[in-house]
Amino acid sequence: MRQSRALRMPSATLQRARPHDLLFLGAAQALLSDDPLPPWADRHWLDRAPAVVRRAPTVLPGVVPVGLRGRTRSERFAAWIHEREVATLVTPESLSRARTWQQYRDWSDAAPIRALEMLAPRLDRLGCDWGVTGSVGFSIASSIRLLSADSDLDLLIRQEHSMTRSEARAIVQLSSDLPCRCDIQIETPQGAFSLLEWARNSPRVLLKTENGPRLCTSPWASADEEGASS
Amino acid sequence: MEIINFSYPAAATAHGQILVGVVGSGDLEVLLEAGQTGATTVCVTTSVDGCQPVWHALLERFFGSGEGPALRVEINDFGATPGVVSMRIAQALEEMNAAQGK
Repeated sequence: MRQSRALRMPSATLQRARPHDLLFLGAAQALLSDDPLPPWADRHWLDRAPAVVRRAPTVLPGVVPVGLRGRTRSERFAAWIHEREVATLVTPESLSRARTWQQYRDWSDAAPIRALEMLAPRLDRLGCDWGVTGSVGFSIASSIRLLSADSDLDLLIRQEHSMTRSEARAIVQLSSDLPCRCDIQIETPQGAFSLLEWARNSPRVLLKTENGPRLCTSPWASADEEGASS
Repeated sequence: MEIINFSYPAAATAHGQILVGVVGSGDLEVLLEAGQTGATTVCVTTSVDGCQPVWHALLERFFGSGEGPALRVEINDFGATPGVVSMRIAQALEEMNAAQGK
């Protein structure tokens, strides 16, 4: 079985789960949700398919908002899970550091995998703290191939301190010759926004925060600081 | 994928061209251009099928009064929530207004 066990950490050693982290569940009944789980999210599927940490407010301490994904784009379901019920956690960065996609030699027909192979050394050379998210991250972490002809490559770059517009343009430039569309989100302590929008000199960018999206001029400033300066 | 067209009465033609938003999951692009006097047309291309009533209700709030400038609006949606869609349309209209004032 081609499971990337080496990448997984026992949940007892974890810091808090962050958006895009992949959580392999100990037991399907550990999930909490408003509605019953849909039929596709059965025991068999959830044994193999990780839940993806969502950006949403914490309702109870130790309870993580997650999204379940099925085989098709319409199969999505919002739920929550107790941190203690998480069997293993895979971060987007662990997938990039371990070059996990290289374990799937027969997946190189997929454009996002080829794009990843091209982009990875370039991002490393720039010293970016980056990781693989979206359907590619899900697929390489779980060995469940959810890549279609029109799949994008979704990545995140963690950026604690502000990035200049020209630094953003340099990264966009690195991804200009890829065989598929590449969506890079910048993760700041406040939330995430599109690298492309920042690179384009938009005065305001859409920052996705745990309290919902907001348009802002300084995506590294807290909502209070932003409010005070405008 | 679905393409939905809407049309609303409008006032005089606006000037300029505004693009806000990005192509990417959960987001959308909104392009505003001058329309033909008296009508605002909206063309929505969305990756999510079957959401026509939601788009109708949402666009009605922005363009339904018939008092705004005549625009040609193009929306490329990649599964954004109604909240994000509203924010992006409002952002585009604000930037268009600001550009008119110049």
